[in-house]
Amino acid sequence: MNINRTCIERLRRTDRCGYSAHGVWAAEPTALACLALMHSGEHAAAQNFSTQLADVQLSDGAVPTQAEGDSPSWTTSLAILAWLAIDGFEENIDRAIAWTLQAHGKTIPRNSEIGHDTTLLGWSWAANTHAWMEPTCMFVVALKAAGMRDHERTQDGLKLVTDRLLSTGGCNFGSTVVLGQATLPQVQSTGLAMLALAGEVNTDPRVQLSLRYLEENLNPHTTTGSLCYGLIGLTAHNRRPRNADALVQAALERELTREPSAYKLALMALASSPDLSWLPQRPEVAQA
Amino acid sequence: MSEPKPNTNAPSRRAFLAAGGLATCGLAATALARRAFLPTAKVFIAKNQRYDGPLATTIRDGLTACGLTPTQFRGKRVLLKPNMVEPTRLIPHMTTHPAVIIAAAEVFRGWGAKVTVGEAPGHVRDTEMALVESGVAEALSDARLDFADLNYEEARWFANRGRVSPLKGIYFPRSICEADFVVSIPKMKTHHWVGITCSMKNLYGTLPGIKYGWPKNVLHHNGIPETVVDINATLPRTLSIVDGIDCMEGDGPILGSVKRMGLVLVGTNLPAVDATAARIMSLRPDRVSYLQLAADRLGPIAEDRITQRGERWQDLVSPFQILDQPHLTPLRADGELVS
Repeated sequence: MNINRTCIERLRRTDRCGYSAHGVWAAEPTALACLALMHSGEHAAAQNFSTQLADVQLSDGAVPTQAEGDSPSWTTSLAILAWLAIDGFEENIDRAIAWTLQAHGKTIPRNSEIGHDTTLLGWSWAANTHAWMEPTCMFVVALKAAGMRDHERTQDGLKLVTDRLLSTGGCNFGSTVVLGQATLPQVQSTGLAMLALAGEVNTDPRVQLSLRYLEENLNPHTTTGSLCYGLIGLTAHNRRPRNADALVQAALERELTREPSAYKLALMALASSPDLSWLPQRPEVAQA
Repeated sequence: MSEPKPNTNAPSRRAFLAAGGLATCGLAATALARRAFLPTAKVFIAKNQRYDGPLATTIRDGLTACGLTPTQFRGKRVLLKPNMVEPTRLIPHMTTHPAVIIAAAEVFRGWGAKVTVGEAPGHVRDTEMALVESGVAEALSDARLDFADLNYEEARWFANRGRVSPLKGIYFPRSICEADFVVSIPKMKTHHWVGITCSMKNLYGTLPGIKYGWPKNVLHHNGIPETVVDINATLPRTLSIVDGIDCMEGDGPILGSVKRMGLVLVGTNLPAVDATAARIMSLRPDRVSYLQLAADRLGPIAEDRITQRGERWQDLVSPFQILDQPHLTPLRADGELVS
């Protein structure tokens, strides 16, 4: 079974992407599906999903997680990636980037109870809350793809991502030490963090420890979301495991025993790629 | 200037005493009347419980002892909400044991209810991972029970009925909105910020991450105790079945040590259940911030207004270690510290 072809065929027949087969429309699966479809040359289907994202974009440039109002807008990052992959959405991208650059997490004065640097801006899941690992990674990846690697917000985001890595490698949702106790790593967030840090000169030993953590924790039983993000993170650092295809194959076989969601189909399609050629990359924009 | 005349309308000493007596009686009567209207609740406790024991019988006995009848559940939708905050196979005492979930499902199914298990893990976006690591996925599959991923379902907004926090309203996922009963099935644990996490705090996991994030930081920024009360006040009818068999003490709710208690607690009023759990853990419920706020608003936490069924809590007290932190030490009734 060709993993990519199986996933893409199913995505092509989908008109609404959600986190479950019959779930409501959601921006994250839609953006990921768009990237996977574009990478496979399915322009018409990708265009359809890009347009769906444009349809929910708010007047301030934000793209909410769900179509209904009053939803958080961390998915603006993923919409930027999707639009960068396809022609015709420049104005949407510009507005989304403008929103991104003014959005930030709520900082907190440093205190002895919390191990991470609470003064770094980064990005939050929801408005008026603290910055956490995964949304910050998503915005860093989006801004780098938009040619804004050198922008101060991207650089601050990269600082946050490194700061939130655990001393033994890996990361969780973004806390490192709480009341003196180190927290536990998770594969999915670590994979995304490694994607955000890809291409950076970073001598912090926690980066190598995190890559090793991923290598040691990807196996045929790793659940689909974690597996895919873990593989993408390793691939981004040229550390793709030799059994990567077999791992995604096992995940796909599991998913096909139930109704797979567009979210997981898109993730598996992206994780099955031997490189990151699915990730758009604009030329670097000179920063003032 | 003439001397002031004595006030002939002034009450005599006898009249004053009589009036005073009446007033005292009136105050006492008012206090009694007020007290009569204060909430009371029943809490059932079973000891010597094991995950491989007859848990369904225990839970059925507990629900019945708290006044529930099978007919109340016939044709109703029951959502079981275990605790799967950040599961890992390395710390099984962090999450609700699958055996308790399956036993609860057996009871409600036996009573004619349609049962779903639902959870919105608070710290992990990969819900499938949370299910697998906690052992719940396999158990649900064997029991042919449906699972609702509450983090990603469509959500509906409800006006905040608690109005303790600044939140105007709360989003609940579809499966919660459609449930006739939401059954909190927490693990009995210490909590490094609020002292204890049990039935009430477990219901943080009814809110969708897609609206509130991972962690549900919107709630933290609006006050943990305040939002615990608001969520509990706004949910549909709630019940509680506590996994108090292998518990967590010390640095809960994630990294604490196992404490074997062998208990199952059941109740229809969550503040009363949690107050009883706190007493067993040797923590003072009246000093647990969210129980203070919930007291008499959502239910009783005072000992004399909680009717014990099954075992007496006084015979089961076993102090749980808590962190030696200034915000936690006042909660100790007789607990040991751990640094």
